[in-house]
Formats: sequence, structure tokens, C-alpha cells
Amino acid sequence: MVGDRYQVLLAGVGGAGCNTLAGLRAAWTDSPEMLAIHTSQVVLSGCGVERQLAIGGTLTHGLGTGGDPEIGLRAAETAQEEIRARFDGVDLAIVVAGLGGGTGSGAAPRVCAAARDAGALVLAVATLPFFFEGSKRRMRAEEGLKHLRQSADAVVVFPNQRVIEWVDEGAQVETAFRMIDHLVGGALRTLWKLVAEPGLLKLDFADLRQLVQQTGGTLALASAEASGPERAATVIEELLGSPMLDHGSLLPAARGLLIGISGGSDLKLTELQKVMGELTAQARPDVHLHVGTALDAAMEGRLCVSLLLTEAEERVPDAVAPEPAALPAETPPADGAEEAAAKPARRGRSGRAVQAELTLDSISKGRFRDVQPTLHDGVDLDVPTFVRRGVRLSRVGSGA
Amino acid sequence: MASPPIVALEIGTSKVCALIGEDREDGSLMVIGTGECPSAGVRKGEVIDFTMALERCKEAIGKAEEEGQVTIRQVHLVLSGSHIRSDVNRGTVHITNEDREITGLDIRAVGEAARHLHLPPEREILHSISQHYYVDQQPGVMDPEGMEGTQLALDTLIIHGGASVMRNVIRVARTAMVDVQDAAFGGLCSALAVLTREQKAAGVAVIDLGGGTTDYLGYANQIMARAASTGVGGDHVSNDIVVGLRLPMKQAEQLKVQHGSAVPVPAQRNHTVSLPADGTFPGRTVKLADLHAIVNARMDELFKIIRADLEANDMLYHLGAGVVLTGGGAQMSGVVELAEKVFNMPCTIGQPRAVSGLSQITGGPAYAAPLGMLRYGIMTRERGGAAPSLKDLLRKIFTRKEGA
Repeated sequence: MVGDRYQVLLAGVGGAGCNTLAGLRAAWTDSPEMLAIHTSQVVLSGCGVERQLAIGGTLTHGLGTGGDPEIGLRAAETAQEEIRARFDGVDLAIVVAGLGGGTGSGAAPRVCAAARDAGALVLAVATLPFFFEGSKRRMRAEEGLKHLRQSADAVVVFPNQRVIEWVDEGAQVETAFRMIDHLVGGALRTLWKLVAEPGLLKLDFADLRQLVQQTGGTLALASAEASGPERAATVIEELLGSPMLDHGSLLPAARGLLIGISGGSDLKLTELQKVMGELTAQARPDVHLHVGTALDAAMEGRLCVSLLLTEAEERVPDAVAPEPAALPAETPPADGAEEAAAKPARRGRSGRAVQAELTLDSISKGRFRDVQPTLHDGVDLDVPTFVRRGVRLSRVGSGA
Repeated sequence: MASPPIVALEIGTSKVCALIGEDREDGSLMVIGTGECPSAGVRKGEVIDFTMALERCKEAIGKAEEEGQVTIRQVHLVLSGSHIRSDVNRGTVHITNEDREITGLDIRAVGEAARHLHLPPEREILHSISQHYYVDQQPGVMDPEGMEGTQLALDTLIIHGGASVMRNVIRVARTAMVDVQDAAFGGLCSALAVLTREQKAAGVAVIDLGGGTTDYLGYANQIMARAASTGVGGDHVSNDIVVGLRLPMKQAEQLKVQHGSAVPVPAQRNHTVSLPADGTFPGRTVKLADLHAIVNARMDELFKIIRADLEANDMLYHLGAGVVLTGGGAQMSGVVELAEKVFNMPCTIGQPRAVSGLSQITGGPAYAAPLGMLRYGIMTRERGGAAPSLKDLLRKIFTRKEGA
């Protein structure tokens, strides 16, 4: 029954991407087709995904890029035709990559370009490194993200750093990475399920396409799952407090919003209403809203809600008009470089870090923005104390 | 009683309040009329929108007139804001009498000298309060008249404020067709309303937790030793909640009043509050633990700033009677507990003393400043009007003839 209407291919590029697939594959019996792409033969053999594509050939001799995106890029370029062939007949390509390394940052944009070339709607899902991984990885990731934005139809960004709030202070690094895998995996499952499975309210592939094309740019994705009588409230609370949505603040700013709800046969109408009511109440009145509900026997007793939304442009983009509705996804230019040039950058290269600083400066002062600041020993007391002290607010459903 | 009632007016950050009071034979105060409305156009005790502040000022006065069945022509104005600071100034005179006996003349002369603090042009003196005399360098003399010496000195606590800021507040009142008879620092007023003589003797600090500012005043050995105001108040708490929980100001304000706590409440760690939809606000469920953490951070910081200031001025270890909290912020749950933790001394809520009238006004700490202003007004009337320095200030900004 799966994907009989739309061909979905889930491609993992690089170490993190392949790992995500490997993790998903274990717990996901009726998954869409997966494809692992890497420059390292070792990683490929270890991930257990049936379909594999080793790129790089004599460039890397199957040994990876050593963290050099340039090598990743060239490896993908030399294998452009092979990659393109793997996406033949695919309607939706979800390309998962961890940015910051060589293959993910360098090759993933090329893979996206090739997939679009083959006629697929390409959704890139990219993780950005934790702050503790160092500035070098961060810079590589930023660069990779820039290319990804140019080559994919839409990019869902998971800044790993946002997960820090979720894990206990004493947790191991391993836990944080597992959490990211879990989050990305969960989001991918829901996303795919909404598009591919028959539901009550059908969320069409066209909806996704529309969301991506109307609003363009960067997407945020969050999902929450709960069971029990209070599951609707729990899920809502978790979503609105989710670091992935910047504690829900991305929601009111989003121009496009896709809500996917899945549950078992015990899913109640009142729960649907509650979830829809509370989430849409947070959104802009003129938001492009798409809703899908999927019933799944495996979800019996549980409720899972996923949000896919466009991140607001935080500043007036330089050369950026919203993508015209008739984005030539089916007939993209043959050459990737040309295509990148033809598509205006969707937003300035304003990294997350910059945005965070802006938030602290202009939003946190709230009503004191325009009055003489109360300074004490050089500290601006108008900025909330909890912000300056770094008090962690629980918000995310610990009671779930 | 022949003397007319006194009107205290406070154009605060959160509320504008006019109280009409009469002094009774027994020395107590009776509040016979009140007028109050939410403030507007005021931030951190300073007028930022004259028209809006004026509107609210007129409204409050109108309400008080109606309730008290009097026509208000003159008010006593409560002033607050971080522009208000204090310094100790010492004046010295030589005793020139043959027999070296200190006379009333010498005392007046030294008082004049001590009052003369050289201030930058934009500063105006609000109060000058005698602390204690030195007779031939011997400190701690309270009444030197009749004593013998060659040199007499006096320490004075000079409370001064930004001239334009104070003028703007006074101008609002004047434009509202009332004459400003006198003005006083809010922290001083609060102290007058709630402190006992015993507390002042033992050493005490009164902290008035206002909407836009927090005023405080410290006594040691019966002497007013420190007066200051910090531009952090309940408004900041609300704003922190707005930012932290992403709520509109109105909901944040309500949440603060109904569920706020200055200390974490373990029993409510997992409690949530549902805020109903209202207008464009879609409704939200918030965790009390988050609310309390936000409020706690702000109040803890505020108390620590005050503590550091008292410590820097050698006051902290002279507060035998501890800390007394007044103002609207003193109604916040957990605030005494937090203050005791920060100051490490007994802390209490200041109850206005020897006042009668509406219990909402006189029964709690919220109106300590305007109530104290009434008492201050009665005192200055008995002394024959506002202090010379203040008369100066008021004269400078006369836009209409007095009593018009």
C-alpha cells in the first residue's frame, strides 16, 4: 500500500545521513526505499541499507573525504550521472545529511541537484553541528547549507544545538547525537507517512509541494508523540515548547504551515479539533495551511503530531522575491551550476547564530526597547534576568 | 478639625493614585477619598508620554474628588525613579562666641552650610535631612545646643534628582489644574508610613517595590543614612514573563499577580495554568515552575543589587530591625522568603501605621508611599510649608501662579 501513488526515495548522504537511515531502518518495517550514499566504503557496508552508492572512486579509494568538502563535492560531480539515475521516477526525494564533514557538506548539495535534475521534488534535511564541535565544522556546515539551499527545493534545518536544551546537563555526547537521530528519524517518518499513506484527511503530495514552492527557503520540522487521555494537550505543549521551533516562536511567524496528525483507530474527533485549534490559533491568520491525518494500526493508543513550517525571513532579503508558483521543478536546467545561479538565494546568508543575537537584543527587552536602559555595572537590567543568567526553562513537556 | 485635607498624588509607572487624607486629633491619619487608575505614558517613574500621563492623572484626581466630595486644588507629589540619588554632605562652622557655647544661630548656620551641596546643573535637591552633629570632631551628637566647642559640623543626607525628570512629573500635575504644594521621594514616604521609631533606632531598610522603580531607604541609629532608587520594578517582572513565556503583556500581568512567586514552589513543580483565549491571544498553558523561575531570577537580582549598595555604604550590618518591604511588589508571594535569603536577616511586609479608611488602601503595603506622603504633608504643614530647597524647585517650574 505504501507509496503506490508517489515514489518516495529517502537518501542519506555522508556519515550522519547514513547513520540516520540505519537507525530508521531497524524500527521501520514499511519504510520508503532508502539509498545510502557515501565516499567511504566502510561506512556503507556498516549501515545495513540495501541500496548503496559509493562515490569518489579513485578520488577517495573508498576511504572517505577526510573532512574536506571539496573532495566530497568532486566525488559527487564525477558520479553525477550515477546519482541522477538512482532518482529516476522518484516524485519526492528526501535527502538527509549531517553538515560539517566532507561528504555531507560537499556531496549532499550535488545529490540534491542531481535528484532535481531527475525530476523529483527535493527536500533536504540537514543537521548543523553542535557548538562544541568547533568553528571549523560550523563554517563548513554554513557553507554546505548555502549550497544546499540553492540546490534543493526546500531545506529542513535541524540545528543540533537546539537539542542541548532537551538533554540533561550530565548527559553524554552520545546521548545528544542519539537524540538528534531520533528527532530527525521521527520527523522523517511522519513526513513520509503523511505523503505516502492513505489518511482521513488526505495530505497530498501536492500540498507539500505547494508549501515548499509557495514559501520557499528554510523549513522547520518538529514532531511530538504521546499516549494516554491527556495526549492531545501533551503533544501541543511539547510542540509549542520545542527547541526545534525555537520554543514555538517560529510558529506565529511562519508563512506556510503543514500539520500532520497520525494516530490509531482510537483517534477522536475532539482531539483533532483540539490540536488543530490550538496550533492554528498560534499561526498567522493568512498562513498557507495544509493539514493531513493518517490512521495507522501501529499507532494504536498513541497520537503523533508533526509540524512542518517555513521559517520567517528575519530580514528583508536582498534579491529575493518569493518563488513564483510555477517553479520549474519538473524541468530544471540541466546544469547544476546554472541552476544555482538562476535561482536567487532565498535569503541572505544569515546563520542561526546571528538570529539568536538579534533576538536577545531587540526582542528580549520588550517594552523597554525604546526607553533609556537601566544600566548597573555595565549590565543592561532591562534584558530579562533569566536570559542573562541563562536560567533553563523547562517548557518542554517533562510531564509527558 | 480646621485644617483642610491633604492630597497625595503619585503618578507611577503602573498606577496613578490620589489619596485624600485628614489628620485626626489623636495624630492618626484618616483617608477620606481615593482615586486610582492604571497609568500610561510613564516608564520607570519617568514621564515618556505627557498627554497620556496627563489624561490618567486627571482621571485619578477626578475619581478622588468624587469619592471624597472635595475639590482638589493642591497636591503633594510622590517622586520616584532611578534619577533619584543621595549623598552625605558635611557642613562646618566655627563657634565664635566668647564662651564657646553653641547657640541656635550656630545650628542654623551649620544647617545652611550642610545643605549646600554642589551639584551638576541638571540636578536638583529634593530633601536635605540632618543626620548628626560633630562637636569638635566628636560624632553622634543629636542636639548640640548649649554644648561647648570651637567647631560644629553637621552631616546631611542630600536626596537629589534629575531636574527635568522631576519637572516633567510636576508639570503633568500642574497641567491637570492642580497646584503642587510639596513633593517627596517615594522611599522616604514609604518609610514614614510603615516604620516605627524603634525600628529606626535599631536600624532598618525599607524597600518599596514599585511598578517601574524600586526605592529604598536605610536608617541606622535613628539616622536616615541612605536613600536610593533603582530603575527596576514590577514592570520588569512582567516583561520578563512576556519574553520568557511568550505571552501578551496583559496575560503576563495577570499571571504574575495570580500565580507569581519570588521563590520556587516545589509542590507546584509540575503544575500548569491554562490561560484562556482573549482577543488575538489564542490561549496557552504555562508551567508554574517556569513562571516562578523567571520571577525568582529577577527578584533575586534586584535584592542583590540593593544588598550590594547597602553593603558598599556600610549599612548592611547596622540593620538590627531587618528589612521592611512595601509597594505593590510586596504582595508577591514568596517575596519575604526570598528577601530573608538574600539579606540574611528578618524581613517583613510593611503595614501602614495609624491610618484608617478604606481597608484596601490602608490594610496592606501597596499604598505605603502615598499614605506616607499624606503624613509628610501634615508634617511640613506644621513646619510651615515645603523645605526651602523644594520651594526653589517648585518655583522654577511655575507655569501658573500659585493657587490658581
